[in-house]
Amino acid sequence: MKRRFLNAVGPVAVFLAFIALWYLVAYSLHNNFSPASGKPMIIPPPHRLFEDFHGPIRDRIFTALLISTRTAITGLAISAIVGIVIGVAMAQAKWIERSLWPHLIALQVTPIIAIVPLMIRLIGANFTARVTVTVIISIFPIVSNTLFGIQSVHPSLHDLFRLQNSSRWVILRKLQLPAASPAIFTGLRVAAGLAVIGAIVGDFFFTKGDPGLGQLITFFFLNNLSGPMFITALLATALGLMLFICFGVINRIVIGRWHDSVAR
Amino acid sequence: MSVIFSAESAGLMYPDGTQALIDTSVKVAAGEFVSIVGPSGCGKSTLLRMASGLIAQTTGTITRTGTVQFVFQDSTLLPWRTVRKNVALNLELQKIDQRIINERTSVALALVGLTDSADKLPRQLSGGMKMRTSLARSLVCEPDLYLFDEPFAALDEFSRERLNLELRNMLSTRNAGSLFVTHSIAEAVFLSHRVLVMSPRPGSIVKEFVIPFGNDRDQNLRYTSEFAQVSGEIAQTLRELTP
Ligand SMILES: Nc1ncnc2c1ncn2[C@@H]1O[C@H](COP(=O)(O)OP(=O)(O)O)[C@@H](O)[C@H]1O
Ligand SMILES: [Mg+2]
Repeated sequence: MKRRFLNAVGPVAVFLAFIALWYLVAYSLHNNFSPASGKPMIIPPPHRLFEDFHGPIRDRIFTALLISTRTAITGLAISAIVGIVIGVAMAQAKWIERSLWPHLIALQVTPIIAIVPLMIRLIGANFTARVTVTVIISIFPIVSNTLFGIQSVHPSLHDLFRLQNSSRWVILRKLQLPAASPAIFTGLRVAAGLAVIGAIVGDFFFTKGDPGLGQLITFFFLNNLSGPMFITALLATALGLMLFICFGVINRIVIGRWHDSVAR
Repeated sequence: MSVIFSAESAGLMYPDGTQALIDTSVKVAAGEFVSIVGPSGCGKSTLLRMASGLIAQTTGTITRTGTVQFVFQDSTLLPWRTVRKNVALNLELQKIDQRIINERTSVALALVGLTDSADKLPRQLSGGMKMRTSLARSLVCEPDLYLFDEPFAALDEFSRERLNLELRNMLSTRNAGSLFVTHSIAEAVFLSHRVLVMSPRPGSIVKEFVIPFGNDRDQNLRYTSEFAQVSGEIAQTLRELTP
């Protein structure tokens, strides 16, 4: 109980310091660059964030949030399935691993800005293209962690199954996947963050189609709507956090019982 | 006495050119317990892996009749399975009827004294209990040949001596043969009918000791002069092998 309390003190203190800094920056910018001119504040302080948050602006933000959430979650789900399948395939044979690895690295280091125009040309500025971008951005940690997790299975455990003449499928199901699941979950968590980035940054470059959070931030920025811009940014953070926490919870439920990294 | 395992002039060279075993001959009869001692890296684990069929000899012949169970040095439990499910693993992989699995698992758990811990996970067990679970997982299969690769090496002296005795009791009702690798001369002498000494790599059997005690052994045996005598001779042989 006491420990719990102490664990919470740090993050809360940092959060409060951050809010204080926010006020400081908001008012010093305002006083230095647009003193008492009646112009809108460059950065609104926290308590004035919600001044413009009503009517069509609010509707647009919620619509954008919905679009980005759908993109991120769909992309993440596809990444998870395809990523685990690729990781498992790579773990089955060295030649598959060697054939795919350089391409995955290449995909991983290609910046979003280079991918989006290509996708728009190939697929169009639609939902499918956004999801594709999200998958490309988020799949790598799932593949690499699945592969790494399976490759780290203790050789004696493999021998144990081989001595019973178990098939590859049985070994995969009863040994490799369960043993790799902590690593896979770590990959999923990282991928969840990347999927949100993929959905939002990707959206930022999609100048056509229904706007998601990325496009909306740009729109508010260009129209000097600082309050809504900040709210949109905070929602983007919240979306990432939500997915991250979701996987933390699933992780705890699935492997928390037996794995040391989670269980206490 | 029917021979269930024999290696005749068997040799093994790993793909990288390491000659692990050379001209190695070992026989194990049904109901017989044979230990192997030798310096580190002399090829003891290699011999067991070869005996189990996990790797093939590169020269000589290996003959094995019946089924094998391998007990590894580390308990190699699956951390996501309970003790009971770990013990049941081998039977499950052999696709045996679930009812029979349950029955035999319960018997094996009772035999190693883990009935009360059946629903625990490996991370909740002590080292000795993990090893008992691993033993139960092999016992449950009733194989014709047991291969043990330093199963008690990680345990403290007290647990080790207790498990030595328990292992003898567990095997006493079966007619299986055992090939047991250990670093402890006392353990080898206590458990075995015969103790084989291996030379440094490339390993081969250089000397055989027939242990002059009957099947009725208890912990007091360890403190008799006969026990000290045999142990001393084996230790002397090992010392002469490693300069
Ligand atoms: N897969 C392998 N490839 C090449 N050399 C190996 C392999 N496994 C073991 N060795 C070598 O073979 C020798 C015997 O190993 P091992 O049977 O494990 O010895 P022991 O169990 O007696 O300590 C050692 O020198 C070891 O380094
Ligand atoms: Mg060894």
